[in-house]
Order: sequence, then C-alpha cells, then structure tokens
Amino acid sequence: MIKMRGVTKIYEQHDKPALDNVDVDIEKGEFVFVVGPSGSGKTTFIRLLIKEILPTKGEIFVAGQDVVHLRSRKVPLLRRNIGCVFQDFKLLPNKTAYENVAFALDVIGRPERVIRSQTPEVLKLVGLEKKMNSYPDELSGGEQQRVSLARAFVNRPPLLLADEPTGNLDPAISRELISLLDRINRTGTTVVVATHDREIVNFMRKRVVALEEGKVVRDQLRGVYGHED
Amino acid sequence: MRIRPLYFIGEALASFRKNWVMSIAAVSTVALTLFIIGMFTIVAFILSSVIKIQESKVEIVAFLKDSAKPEDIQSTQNELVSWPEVANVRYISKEQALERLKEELKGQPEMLDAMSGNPLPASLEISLKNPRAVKTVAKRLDGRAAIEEIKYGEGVVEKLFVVTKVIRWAGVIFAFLLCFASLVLIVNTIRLAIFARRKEVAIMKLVGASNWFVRWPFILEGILQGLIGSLLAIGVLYLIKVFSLESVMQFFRWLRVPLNYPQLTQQFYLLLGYLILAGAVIGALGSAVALRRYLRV
Repeated sequence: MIKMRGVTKIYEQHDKPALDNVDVDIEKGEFVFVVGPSGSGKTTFIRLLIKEILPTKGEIFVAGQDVVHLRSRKVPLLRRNIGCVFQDFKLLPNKTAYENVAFALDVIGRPERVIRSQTPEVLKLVGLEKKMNSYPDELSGGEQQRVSLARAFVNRPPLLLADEPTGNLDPAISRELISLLDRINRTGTTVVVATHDREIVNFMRKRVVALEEGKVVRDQLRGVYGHED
Repeated sequence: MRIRPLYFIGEALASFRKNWVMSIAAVSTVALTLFIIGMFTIVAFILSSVIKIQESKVEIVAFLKDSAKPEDIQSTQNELVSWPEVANVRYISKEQALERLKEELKGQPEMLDAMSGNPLPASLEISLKNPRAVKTVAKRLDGRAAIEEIKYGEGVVEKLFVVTKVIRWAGVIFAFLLCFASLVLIVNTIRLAIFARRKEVAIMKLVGASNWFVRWPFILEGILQGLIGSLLAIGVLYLIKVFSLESVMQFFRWLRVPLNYPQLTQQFYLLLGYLILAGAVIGALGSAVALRRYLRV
C-alpha cells in the first residue's frame, strides 16, 4: 500500500533534514503507528503521502501510484483514495457535521442519492447520529474528531492517515477514537497513525515505526512506544 | 468529475449569505468604483462632444477683392472644392455680408447710419473636414488673383487645439489610472474575503477537490457580487441622469453649444450596459486571481 525508498525531506531555511533516507513498506490492511517526539518527522511523513509537499530525494508509492511524479492534475484523484484526520480536525466551520461529511462525497461527484444514504450511516458508525445538524463549534473536541474521521472514511478509501488524531483529546476520548480506527482497519482499510501519545500505542499493540531526527530507529510488529523515546 | 451548475450556484449563494460582511464590502467597492468610472465617462463624453463642436467652428474666410472677376472667383471656388481637406465652400456676396452686419447690429442703428454705401467685401467661407488642417489650407490658398486677404483666427486656433489636445490626453490618462486603481481595489477586497476562507479552500483540496471544483463557487460568487455592485452603480447613474438632464441641457443652451442629445443618450445607455458587463467580469476575474495562491496546496 505504501512504499518509501530513500526519502529525504529538507525544508527551506533548515539545515537538518526533517526526514533522512527513510525506507518504509506498509502492506495492505496493516495498522501502523508512526511514533517519535515532536520534530522527529511524523507530520512530514504524512504530508508526503498526500503530496502536500514533495520530498527532496527518494521515491514514494501509494497504492501503486508514483506520488513524486504524479501530475498535479491527478493529485485530487490520489487524495480521494486517502482519508485524512488531523490534530486540529480541519472541519469547515460554516457547515454542520452532516454537511462536512457530505462535502467529501460532493467533492468526488457522488450523486445526491448516495450522499443521502451514506452520510448518516457513517455518522452512526462514529456514534454521532444525534448530532448530525450541529456546527463544529457546538461539538466537543472528541465529537469534532469523530466528524473528521467520518469525513475521512465516508467514501471508503483504501488508506486512512491520521496525524496526531488524539493530540487535542483527553485519554478516555482518545482510546475511544483509536478503537474506532481499529474497527475501520478491520474492514480492510490500511490505517497509519502518526502520534506521540504513548498510552494509545501501548494500549493497541500494533506495528510501530519509531522516528528520531528524521531516521527510522525501530520498526517492530506488536510494538510499544518504547521507554527510551 | 461531472460539473453540476446547480450545486455550484447553491454553494455560491450560501456563501454569499454566510459571509455577508465580506460580500457587502466587495459589492460596495464594485458599486463605488463603477459609479466613479461611469460618472467620469459621462463627463468625458459631454466634454468630447463640446470639443468637437468647438473645433468644427474653426473655418477659413477668404475676403475677395471688389475688383475680382467673377470667373476668377468661380475658378478659385471650384479649385477649393476639389481639395481633399475641404468640406464645404460658401460664397457670401457683398449684399449678404451687409445683411449679416445689419442683423448683428440690430440694437445700434446709429452704427449703420454712420456707414456710407457698402464697405464690406464679398468672401468665401471654407469649412474643413479636419479643422487641424486650417493652417496648410490657408497657406496654399494665399496669392490667388481674386483674393484680398485670408483669415482663420491665426494664433487663437493654435491655442484652441493645444487646449483640446491636453484635455483629451488628460482624460485618457486619468481614465487609465482610474480603471487601474479600481481593479486593484476590487481584487484586494476579494482577496481579503478569500483570505478569510483560506482554511476552507485548503480543506477542500485535502479532501480531494479539483481546482475547478473549488473555483466555480468563488467565481459565481464574484460574478454575483460584481453584478449587484454594477446594478447599484448604474441605478444611481440613471437617477442622476433623470434629475439633472434638464439643467444640463439648459446650461449648454446658455453656452450656445448645440449638443447632440439623442446621440449622447444612446452612448449613456451603452455605457450602462458596459458597466454591468464590467462588474461581472471584474467579479469573476478578481475571484479567480485572488484564489490562485490558495489552490497551490
């Protein structure tokens, strides 16, 4: 599903690379945590996969597509196969929970009929069927993140990326959210979560890719966050 | 991706309502600038027809010798008519000249009484297609047997043409600056409105929206704002025309400038049409231009 070969990213006005010669393979259907302290390159890792930024060096393949050399016209098509969840939720403030989720289907040109049946379904999956008509500022952080998750998942993408999804949530809510991600993973969706939330990593016991100063320092199946980090 | 006009129009209308403060800012900017441009254009129209009328009043008068033979007069007249610069040649006999003078001095008969016989010469009055050729034509005409003296308001004419030239160029430069300033102002207002929604644009792009999918609602919204703004502007211009036409006409009648009112009215309505078009185009282009940098995500 994801293949990175020798990926290096150096931001302008920084001399140290954010990612340094990273090789990673993630198979279809896996659930992977990318962990590491702030500034270790987790967010860069995620942003590269959706071509929000380009690597300085290296090859990136997502679902068989060469992301680095993808024509900019084709980038929207790539992103439709990748659901994204962010620490700051990135919900449209002037749309309700329902509209935010329906929007993702609107964008990819799904007919109204499909939107009307799938949107409530996925909102029910994340447990928000009673708050469909609330605006983001009327929802709690956990609820907003669940709307964001519903939006990411509503068109059943083969890959779901989450960048610090629990960064703004308290521990109990975080665990709930990760359980939701786990349920989505069980439907066959590949899930990649970038996080420095030690508790959820240890709780889930999934594959862990640890980054430090842009390098992969550990790649372990059924791993934990690691005491040294 | 299918293009769904109804969806885009719906989005545009919804965001127009939800972002009404910015919408009002954009609409009033468009209205104000188009109103100023319209007002300026109307003044320029009137000024340019006044200039044209003044310039066409310039003509050459060739006074004829009392002793000139009719054949010489006739041949000079024929020659003049054949010149490409000349629009029209009128022969004014001594008697006609006296009639005119009597007409002009109606109020002061004592002036006429003091005159013995008819001291006025006959003349040829030459009007030109291009009044600026007045000097060359006058020079070429000089020295004909029948002609005593040529007058074309030497000195005054040159000054008149300098003045009209300056007015015309000043008008063109001012119009150019005005259009430029308006465009910058409108694009900046729209840019501000889009800046307030840059997160929205970024989210659309992250969810996988194509650039045109993001652009259409903004462009339609821009057209809507431009249209409303231009309609406000032309509404005010129309009211001004209705309420001030009579006094403007009176003013120019008093100045003895015979303006061509039907033609000016036609130009006025044409201008209103162009202003509506300009509003829509500026709105659409402004949105597209202002959006460009936020689409690069």
